[in-house]
Amino acid sequence: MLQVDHVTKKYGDFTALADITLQFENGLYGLLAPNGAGKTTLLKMLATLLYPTEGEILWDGQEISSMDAAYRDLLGYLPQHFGYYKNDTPKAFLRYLAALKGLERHQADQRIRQLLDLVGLGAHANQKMKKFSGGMIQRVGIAQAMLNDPKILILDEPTVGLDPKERVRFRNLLHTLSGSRIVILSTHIVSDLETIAHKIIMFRQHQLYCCEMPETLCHRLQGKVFEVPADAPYEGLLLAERQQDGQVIHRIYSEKQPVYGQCVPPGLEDVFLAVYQDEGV
Amino acid sequence: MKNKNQISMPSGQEKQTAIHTIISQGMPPSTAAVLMGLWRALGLRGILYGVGDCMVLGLLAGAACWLALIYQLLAGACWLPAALVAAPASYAFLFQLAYYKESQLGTQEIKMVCRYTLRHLTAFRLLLFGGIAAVLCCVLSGIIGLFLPLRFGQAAVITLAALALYGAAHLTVLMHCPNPWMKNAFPAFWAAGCLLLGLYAPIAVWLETLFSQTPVILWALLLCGILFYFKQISVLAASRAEGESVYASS
Repeated sequence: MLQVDHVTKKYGDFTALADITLQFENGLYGLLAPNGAGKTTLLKMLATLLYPTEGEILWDGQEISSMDAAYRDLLGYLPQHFGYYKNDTPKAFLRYLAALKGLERHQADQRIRQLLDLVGLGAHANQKMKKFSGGMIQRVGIAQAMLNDPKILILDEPTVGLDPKERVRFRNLLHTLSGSRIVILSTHIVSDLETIAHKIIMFRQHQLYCCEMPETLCHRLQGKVFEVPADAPYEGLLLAERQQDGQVIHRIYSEKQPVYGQCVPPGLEDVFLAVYQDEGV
Repeated sequence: MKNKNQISMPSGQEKQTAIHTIISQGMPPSTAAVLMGLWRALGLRGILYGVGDCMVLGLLAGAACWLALIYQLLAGACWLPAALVAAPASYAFLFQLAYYKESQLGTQEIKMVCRYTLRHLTAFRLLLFGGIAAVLCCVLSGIIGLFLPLRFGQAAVITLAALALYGAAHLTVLMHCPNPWMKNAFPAFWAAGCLLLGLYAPIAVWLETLFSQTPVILWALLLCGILFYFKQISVLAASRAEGESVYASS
């Protein structure tokens, strides 16, 4: 179990995260928050790239910074900006990273073959990465994060810049991987998490807002999300628009039902927009 | 209650084995052990993976500094300041170019979370670059010896001491100076300091005389520089400072 215990992170006078307490067990956790909320800060602390100003992070009761290489052996990390050597093939690059992760050569070669097949790059193993699309590069990124079969997989906004088809592929892959490990995924794209996350973690004003199952979160807005014709008056927050039979329909969040409004089941995106309405989303 | 004589106690060999296991698994490995593990895992190609082009450029740039030294020697001017710049030049260029490439590519973060981190890799690379620069210093000393009535050994000690002191000072600034601008500008400060020395010829001449008459000072500087350099390498490899960059200018 990975435990975040009253963790605060400050940069001088600026508090990036304040008094965060979380527990992670096997499953997929989605960090859902707008830009600048502290998602990357938390993930970097979990990856030992940053250290908490206060509090501690524990793995099975032991402080992760004291575990040193033993903790890094459990870790797979895909940063927000994944760097790679353009003139290398994914096989050569993964071999290099496998050596840095302490894998034996023959073990690494077998693992690389399996991972490239898993991410759908088996046929491109010996092709230079400068010819890869953004989605293919991200898949190499997730393959490198999985090299050491980590118990903790941390992915920082892995789907940014991917087309919808790639994002669906990514979601399916992560869903497969989350069965036997802790997967922590940060994103501000709600659809990345809606169908695969076991728990959603949200921050608000640099503090923990919630850590709940998606359906529980959505239940908070039950009876408060309505659809009204665009020309009908309403009081509340505009969440989205859609077209139906040539007419524009507004999806709104309101404490009371508008006159021409029809109550609809709330989704995770509605929760996101409602929670962060004051934060310029 | 069981008779004490019926309890089988571990033999001396078993005790020693158990103690050894506890110590080896409980104590953190030494820097040397980690770096040896890195060498076994990666080899030379792996250590220089991604920065091979920087090696070529670094050596070329260092060679350009040597040309400046040779020019000084041919012109009959004071050679010491130019030698102090040329000696660590290759090392400085190798280090800065490799760092610059790694930071531009953005590969630092994923390397910081591996068993052998970017800090371990950097420490090993610095030892390698130092070794290359030391060999070049010996060649440089040979060149100096062609132009001056200066023994090869004395020239070698001067250039190696300059290299060791530069390396140790640079690492100290990198790890302890809070100002990122200062970290990146240190090589320029070193070169500027040496060139200023060249402008004040009497001081340079005095130093040359001091070194030739009291070689023990040179040897002391060399020994202190080497010891301090290895100490700083060890501190770097074991460092748990925050951030994905060991250079903190990103």
